Amino acid sequence: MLTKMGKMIQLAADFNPFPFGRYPTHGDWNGQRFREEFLIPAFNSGDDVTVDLDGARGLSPSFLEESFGGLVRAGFVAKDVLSRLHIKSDRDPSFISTIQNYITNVRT
Amino acid sequence: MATSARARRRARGRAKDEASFRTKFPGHLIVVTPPILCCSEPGKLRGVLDFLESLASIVMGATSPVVMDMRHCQKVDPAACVLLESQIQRCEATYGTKFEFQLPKDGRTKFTLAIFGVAGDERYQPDQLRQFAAHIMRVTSGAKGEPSPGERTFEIARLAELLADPTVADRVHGALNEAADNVLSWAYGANSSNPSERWWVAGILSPKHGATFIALDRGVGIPATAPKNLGDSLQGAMAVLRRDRLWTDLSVPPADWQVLWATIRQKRTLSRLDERGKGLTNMVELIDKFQSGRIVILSGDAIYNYEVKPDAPEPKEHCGPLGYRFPGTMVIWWLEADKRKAKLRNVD
Repeated sequence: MLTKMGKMIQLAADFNPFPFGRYPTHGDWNGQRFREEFLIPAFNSGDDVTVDLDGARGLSPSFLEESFGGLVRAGFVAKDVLSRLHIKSDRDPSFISTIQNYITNVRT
Repeated sequence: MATSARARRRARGRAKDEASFRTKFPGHLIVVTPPILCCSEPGKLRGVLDFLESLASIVMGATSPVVMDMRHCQKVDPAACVLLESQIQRCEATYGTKFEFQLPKDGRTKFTLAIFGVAGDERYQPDQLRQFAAHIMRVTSGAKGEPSPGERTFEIARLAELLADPTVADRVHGALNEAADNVLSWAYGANSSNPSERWWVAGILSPKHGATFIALDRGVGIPATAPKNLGDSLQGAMAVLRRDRLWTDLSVPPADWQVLWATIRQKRTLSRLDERGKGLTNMVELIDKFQSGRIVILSGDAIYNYEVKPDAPEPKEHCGPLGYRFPGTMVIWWLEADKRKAKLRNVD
């Protein structure tokens, strides 16, 4: 979806309400898949990207790190990702800083 | 004389019971469970683990079906249910064992085994059990490549919605997911796909004790995988603990409990750290979100305990040797309800 904030990805509706794990071997709704099928195409479009986490349940560090930290491992520049990425997480706002931390301190 | 007559009657009853049992299971290999299956104390846990080990040895070469004779089992706790279920599934997957059960005479024990999905009979249908015991979530298991593990852990974690606000309950779900994910990533080796290499979770909620969640794997354990996965940062945490805790006996290689404590500690204290390793922190810090709670992690020859109490100024943390090897990793959370937010009145 294209909004004033650029591309909008609703994790629960567009991907799955129960995302789990890092890699495809961990289950269908893993972080690598979310990154490759949603985040990377959105960032490649050049727009800002808003990811709405509300509605998704049981977000774990592994899923979030692989999704967002994995962008930097995939070649995106952390500073650029941070400036173009907007996280909506009204239910638990602490995820916003957690994700920013994953992007900043990514393991390469 | 009266006592003697009573003893004779009892002996006759036992003989009749035994004959009936043998008739019911002709040609079966019989495995008798211990009277107490509890993990609440290290000594009792060892009894459970010894039984599970002997169970595997007995059924390994068995060609006939196996009946687990639980008639004299008088007590079983949720953690023991998870362990027992894990061993049954592993034996089924590894040796093709077919299990049947002679259920305990003790009604409470029988109910506990049935409600956690370990052993039951036609009187204990899962759907009926769920209707009058919605506060207990049977042991759920998963392995690599299964489609939606997060949906299954949600079934367990949603119990927490009855004792905390939705955000905190969601953190419980996140912690269970992370535990399961860690199992798939590390516990059995990255490229392994053995069907017995699974994770197990279960949960129970009570007005008196709050919620208990259990996550288990039967892999190599955190002390075996952490040095390889965490490298230098683990050594740094080990050095800090050595200084803070005055460890003068840091053996080379370090003991399991020293590795486990450093693994947890390095993730809780260092700011710029490998985010791949933060899952364990997430599991421990969940306790801080409740007014009172405790987490116990058993892995290898180590037991870690972290406890928060409303009347204690500081959380209590301890890690030490278990005295024997736990086969895998088990995490148990005890979470006390926030009295202001709990909705436990309908739960009995």
